[in-house]
Amino acid sequence: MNIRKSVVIIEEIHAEGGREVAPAARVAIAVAVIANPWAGQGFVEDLGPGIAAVAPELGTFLATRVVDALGEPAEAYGKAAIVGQNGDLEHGSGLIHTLAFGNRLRERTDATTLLPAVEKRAGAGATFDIPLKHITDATIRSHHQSVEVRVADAPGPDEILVALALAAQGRPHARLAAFSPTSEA
Amino acid sequence: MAAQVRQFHTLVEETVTEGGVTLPRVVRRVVVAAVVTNPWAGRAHVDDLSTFVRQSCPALARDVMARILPHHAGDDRVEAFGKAVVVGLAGEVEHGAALVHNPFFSDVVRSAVAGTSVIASTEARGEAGTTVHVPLCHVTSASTRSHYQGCAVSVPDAPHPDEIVVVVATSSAGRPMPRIGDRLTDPPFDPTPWRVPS
Repeated sequence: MNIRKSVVIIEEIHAEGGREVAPAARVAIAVAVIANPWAGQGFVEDLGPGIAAVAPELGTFLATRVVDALGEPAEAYGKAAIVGQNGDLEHGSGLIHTLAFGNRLRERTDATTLLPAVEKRAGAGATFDIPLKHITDATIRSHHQSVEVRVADAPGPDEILVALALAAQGRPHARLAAFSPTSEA
Repeated sequence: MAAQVRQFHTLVEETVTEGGVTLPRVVRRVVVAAVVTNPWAGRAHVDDLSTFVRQSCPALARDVMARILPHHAGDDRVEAFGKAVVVGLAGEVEHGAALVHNPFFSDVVRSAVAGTSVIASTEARGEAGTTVHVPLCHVTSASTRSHYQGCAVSVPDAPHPDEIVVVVATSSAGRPMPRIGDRLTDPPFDPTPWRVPS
């Protein structure tokens, strides 16, 4: 893994809808900007070796940082891969859609569900929204949320930006009825 | 009266390589943005902004710096700093300037990082998500060329029209790989031939 920079973002929400949120709602995002392992190689059919070389280390790096940044037990999570413009969308997906990546975060948070994800190809400074869902039951409606992220100078054309996001709670002042497949029209 | 804070947005940026070269030490920059209610928004022109400033700014600066300093725990010291405000559209730029251009705010920032310089700043008005490029300079020697740098930050949903985003940025170092000398090392230069004709 050839990393250029990392970014950690911590959001603390103290009020929503004009009403205090106490304790403050916390969301943390850890971002790594790495060289695209397949840059300059033309179309690469077998991404497996590159994934095996990068994904576990990348997962450990980001999971450690995002857990530290949140500083509280996690209840919701999500991930992102933003591929620079010379890369294939599949390159970013390859790095994050593997248990070798996601399980590094699941192990640290006692999580079991699928990690919701955003994948896109974009220029440096692109805004992307990471979807988050509950870490053990993706149907828990109060925890459906997303967080907006932007790194001004990344990803470069031959880079991939990979991120993990954690929330310590659901939405501030969540008050929708619980999901029930039998009672809803 | 305390500033009403809706949100703190903390950004920690660690640069490992620049121009393909691995840096001798990681450059760590920390930005904290506090989203506060603009106490003067939506009111008739208020001439004297000083009372709220005096009452609210020391605690606001302390709460911002308390979020910055832990991220520099691994650094020898904070070497550069800067500040910024983004005023929501129902306020005046002067409202934002009031919150950061005063001793109650700035001296708390300086004392937190053993700084003595004027703190580089920028002031803007804009809608939610406005990107502001916070200028930074050396904390004790503002003209140190290696430490001029900018750090982009945006808070996705702030400021609302009646809010102000107050930002402080710090860095553990100057720019990665600085190599453009300094005013003390520049060769002599006479700008006379380059004077703009009047």
